[in-house]
Amino acid sequence: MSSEPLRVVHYINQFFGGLGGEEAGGAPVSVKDGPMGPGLGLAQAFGNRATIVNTIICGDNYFNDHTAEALSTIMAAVGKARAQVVVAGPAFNAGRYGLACGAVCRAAREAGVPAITAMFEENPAVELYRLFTYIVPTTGSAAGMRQVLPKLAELAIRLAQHGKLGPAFAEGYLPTGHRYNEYDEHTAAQRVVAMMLKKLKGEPFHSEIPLRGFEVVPPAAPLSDLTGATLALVTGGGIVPEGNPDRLKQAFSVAYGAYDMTGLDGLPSGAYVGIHGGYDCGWANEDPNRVVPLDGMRRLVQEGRVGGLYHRFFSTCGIGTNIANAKRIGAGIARELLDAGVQAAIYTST
Amino acid sequence: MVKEAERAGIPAAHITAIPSVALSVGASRVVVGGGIPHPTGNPDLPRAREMEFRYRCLELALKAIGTAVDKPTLFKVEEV
Repeated sequence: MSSEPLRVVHYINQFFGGLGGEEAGGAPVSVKDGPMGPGLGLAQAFGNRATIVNTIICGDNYFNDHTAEALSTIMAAVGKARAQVVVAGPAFNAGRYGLACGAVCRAAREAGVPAITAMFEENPAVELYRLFTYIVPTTGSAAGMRQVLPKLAELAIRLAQHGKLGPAFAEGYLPTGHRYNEYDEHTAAQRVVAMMLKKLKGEPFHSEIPLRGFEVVPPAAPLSDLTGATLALVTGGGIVPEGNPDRLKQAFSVAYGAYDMTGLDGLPSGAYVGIHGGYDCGWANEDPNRVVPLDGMRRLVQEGRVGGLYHRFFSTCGIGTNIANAKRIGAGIARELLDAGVQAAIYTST
Repeated sequence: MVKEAERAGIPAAHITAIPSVALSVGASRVVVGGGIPHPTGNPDLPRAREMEFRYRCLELALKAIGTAVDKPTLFKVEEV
């Protein structure tokens, strides 16, 4: 290995580049010699192992409004600097800055230059770019700068030396979702039995195929007296008025419909049908209340156990819908429920 | 979708025939339904008993809405 310091190019936004705040967001790409801003901390952690040849600064608005242009200027500078690794950020929880860092790293990697960035796990850019670049987790605000820079510097050096990093759990970057084959002296059967024995003994073990984690949402406070409350019915079972007036998709949903049931004692067969592409809608078509239980709700209202039922039910097809769309659809329905003064809801899924 | 309702402060009962999925995804108030293609029905039952089953399902959903929970919790309907 060469004893020459590794050549690093560092990307930062207008704020960390000292150009100004939001008012300087339109600043186009500029290239400076040496480190600046957070790069000074990186340089300190690099010591004589690596050197920041150039700092590239770009306004967040400029980058996001002129992405192609900005990227082409940035990549020309990366090439000219003969960079062995590109470091972007840290962007913390800044949305536009995060997007710029992700896009710069992706472009660098596609050009054959290893790249790494750092940002808060909930930065929207994480979901968009985690497949394409290494992202070191940070705190939500720049208060965590001092903690993250040494980590980012170490990983950047190893990345420049080896072209890739080990698995996320060992290296400490955010999981990318990629899985790689590797050789192991033990067969899969031996490893799984070893894992099972550890599990039986209550010892810690690591699955080789971790399941995707789901966001934890704290439950809402309960509502025990519903006699004065308005409830709503929501389904992922794809019940719609005959003819599917909103042309909802049968799968991979991106939208939902809201349908009036004023004056109905139950959802009549024939007038409401199931369009869901993931289950046999025969039983639902025979009696749509099997999926949207309007007749049962009417009885609860009549008996005075529930104050009232919101006059529309909400429907979409749950099948094949990705989490981001499901979340968006769910949030849209929740907003309508809040606006309508609905206090509790019953969701059915097929 | 139910998580978005709960996030907005609206307690939401989730009636499903696959409670394991609902619980693992993190729905807070899960009620076991009558079947995948008919969460609030059971076509094998005579009509009157099916109506009764649906009513029990909804009663249980009301109970779930009225119960304080701190994690994904399962509510089961009794046989009719």
